[in-house]
Amino acid sequence: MLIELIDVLISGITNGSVYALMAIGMALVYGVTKVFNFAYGSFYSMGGYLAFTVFGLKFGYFPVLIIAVPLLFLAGFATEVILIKPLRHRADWEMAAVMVTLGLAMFLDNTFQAIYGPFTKSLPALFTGGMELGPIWIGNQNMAMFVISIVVLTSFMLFLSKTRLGMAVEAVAQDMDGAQIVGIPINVVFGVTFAVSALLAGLGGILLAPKYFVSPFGGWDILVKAWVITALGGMGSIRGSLYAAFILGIIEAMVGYWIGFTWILFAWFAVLLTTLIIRPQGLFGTWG
Amino acid sequence: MLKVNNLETYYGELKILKNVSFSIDEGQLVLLLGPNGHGKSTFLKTICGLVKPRKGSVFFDDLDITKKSVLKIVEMGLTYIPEDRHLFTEMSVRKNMLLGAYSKKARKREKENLEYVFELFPRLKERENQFASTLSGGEARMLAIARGLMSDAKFLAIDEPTLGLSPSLRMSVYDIIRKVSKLGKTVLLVDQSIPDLADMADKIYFMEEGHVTHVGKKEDALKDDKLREIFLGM
Repeated sequence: MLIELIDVLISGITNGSVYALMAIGMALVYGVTKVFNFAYGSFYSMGGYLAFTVFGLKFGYFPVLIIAVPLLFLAGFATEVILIKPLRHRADWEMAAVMVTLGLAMFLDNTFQAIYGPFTKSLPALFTGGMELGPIWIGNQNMAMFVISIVVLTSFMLFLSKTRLGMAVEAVAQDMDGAQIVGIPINVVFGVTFAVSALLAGLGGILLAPKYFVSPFGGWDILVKAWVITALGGMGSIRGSLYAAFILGIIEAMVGYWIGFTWILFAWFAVLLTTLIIRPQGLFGTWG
Repeated sequence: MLKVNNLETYYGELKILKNVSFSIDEGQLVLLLGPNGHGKSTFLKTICGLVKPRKGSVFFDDLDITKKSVLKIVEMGLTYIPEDRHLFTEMSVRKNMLLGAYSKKARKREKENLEYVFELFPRLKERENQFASTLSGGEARMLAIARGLMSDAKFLAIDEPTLGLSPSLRMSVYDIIRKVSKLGKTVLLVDQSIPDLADMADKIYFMEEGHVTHVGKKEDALKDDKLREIFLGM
């Protein structure tokens, strides 16, 4: 029983680390721009398909990261510049932007379907094998997912707190007018925010592809999951999303193991609703 | 240094500024007075680029900045210090000040300016690692001014910096503005009533219902019965 519990916890923490990656990307865009990005899940799929394509060229996994990461960053940046920026001078731009991201999601998902067909694609595991710690077995794939997620999360947090641009991103999230009057380039911050967000979602897609497959509309599950995590953490709160991702990751592993996979989202929403009844602003209601 | 011609600014269909003309020379301290809600803040927001006018023009250092972005205007050396502060509340006092020096120009002199501004506001130095949200109303107002000074601007447009402050705090804020002005910075100060700075002001503007109704020195204002009553309470 104890061994089982440890196994489940390890699995939960691994899931949690990837969820944290993805939820933070969502919290970032919401926190900074106050736009709910419906296309978020499509960037997850985009990561998966990029990995599938590059991997198909027989280069192995590391080129996947080297090629996909800058492409995802560019895709996010382009999304902001082409679709969001032209709306921003309007008074009701936030709502218009939400609609545009919904349209983008449809467009991207159908593009994936047109190119790759409707069936799921699978990817081999990044690493095979594992290590034994007494009776506990840790798969190298899970280990790698965990390590990559933690490295990316740490770099992201350092970017926010230590670099000038990161501080500017945080400043825009806290007070957009205040940021403008001190001379922060809002356009750059918005672009970078969308870019980093797409990158985090796509990286999640690459890391989870071997585990959950890639499909044209698979991004919607991720959108729902990322939304539940950010809502539990407190919309727009980076720290909140971090905690919420690990809490829900562990719940997912436990429910999946002892009750059944079909009950996972049910359990997530139960936790979310209970939390929101007690704390309507989520675990951490504000940015930070 | 700043020249505004026939400015008209709207919020939606509501005309806020009506044919406002205004000028201020380098190094001057100019007061813009008038009752609440009569367009003073809108005027400042228009010259700093946050709000775009429908008609008229704004020239800064002989360059037309009417359609320029806030960012460009800040980089040219015009900084707006808003009445409602707009601080980054979930960041330390120090970070707020560093962000005040975000523009390229300000970054070069960030260290000296930080030292100088902390000298002006020893209270903020004591609290440099506290979150801005933990400051008292007076301290938050000081931080807004301090952050504005960090921009290394040559022109400061300050909106009601003493609103809601105790008389002694108000005096110290005026002292600071006096010091800044003596350094050679150009200052445009908005207030509701005539403050103690009136004596050293080079010019006083009165704004009512979006119009400039009076321009002149304090003495000129005293000659006008209505102004004397409204703004000086005498």
